[in-house]
Amino acid sequence: MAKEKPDLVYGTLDMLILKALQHDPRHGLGIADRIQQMSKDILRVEQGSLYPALYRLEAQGWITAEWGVSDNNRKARYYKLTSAGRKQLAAEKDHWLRITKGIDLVLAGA
Amino acid sequence: MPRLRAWFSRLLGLFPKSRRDAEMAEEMQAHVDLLIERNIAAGMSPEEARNAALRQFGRVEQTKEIAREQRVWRWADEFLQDIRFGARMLVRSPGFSILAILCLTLGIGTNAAVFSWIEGILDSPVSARRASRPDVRALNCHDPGRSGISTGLSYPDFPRSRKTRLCSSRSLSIKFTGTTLSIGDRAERATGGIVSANYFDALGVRPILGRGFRAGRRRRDETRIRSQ
Repeated sequence: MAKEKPDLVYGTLDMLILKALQHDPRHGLGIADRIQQMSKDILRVEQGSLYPALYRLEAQGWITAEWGVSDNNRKARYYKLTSAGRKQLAAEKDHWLRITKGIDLVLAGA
Repeated sequence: MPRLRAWFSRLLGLFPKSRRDAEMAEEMQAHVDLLIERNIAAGMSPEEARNAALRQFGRVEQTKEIAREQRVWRWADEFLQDIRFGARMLVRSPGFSILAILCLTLGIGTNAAVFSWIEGILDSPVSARRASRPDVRALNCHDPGRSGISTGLSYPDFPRSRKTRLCSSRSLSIKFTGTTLSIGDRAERATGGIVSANYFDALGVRPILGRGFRAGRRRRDETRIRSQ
């Protein structure tokens, strides 16, 4: 498969992170892996850019973090979705669907 | 609510800065370590694995800087730095510090002395006014005709605004104006004021001789002012 541009659409990283945390708490690398896996390798998160986004989301109160131990017995900081984060995810998803629907309509127009 | 929480989080993030930074560095290091392990498991040499991991992660220091901006207000951070820097400089050159403090003390002290002295001389009639504070809201009174606060009420509005209790009985209305007085062949510019009938009462000032204004004659004055 031809490699897609790695850049995400501006402003969507927050939504993708929230989505990746929907079911289980994950650490930074886990989140990057999850997004890559869910997008079937189309989306690759530049891992460095993950942390600014994570701290931003944490400051907003949408995710919380605590130290835990990873599968291979390493210390890692695990992020978990809060209920406010769940609401935010739903809102961002709605917004995204509405926007993409609009864009699709424009692109499909004669 | 999330906004308030974000605010607090940033505020808290401000103080134990070094601890937070250490935590951030530790977290990113853990991330890179995981990547290295994964690369070794995929068959790379430790050296290769490390380089590849750093490439994958991107620029660590820059990321830390961006991440830091997410949680502290940069200006507040820099402000604290400035204060620390200033304090260090003062300690380092005590001679200059003493001189600077002395200059400031003298400057501020002299200013305060001179201004309170001038206030005492120029503003002494104020004491009469202070005794019974007039309510000068009339000058800056709510205009019942229009919405919002009007500065400078027109005189016909003034009695009306008092009737509607927007201004108290101690409100007064002043309009400073000037006119030319000519006596014989001499003409002189004079400054005067048109005031409401309660002017002296509101100020708590009594004329030594005669009487102040009486409210009763207002109607005639009003027409005269309107025609101006």
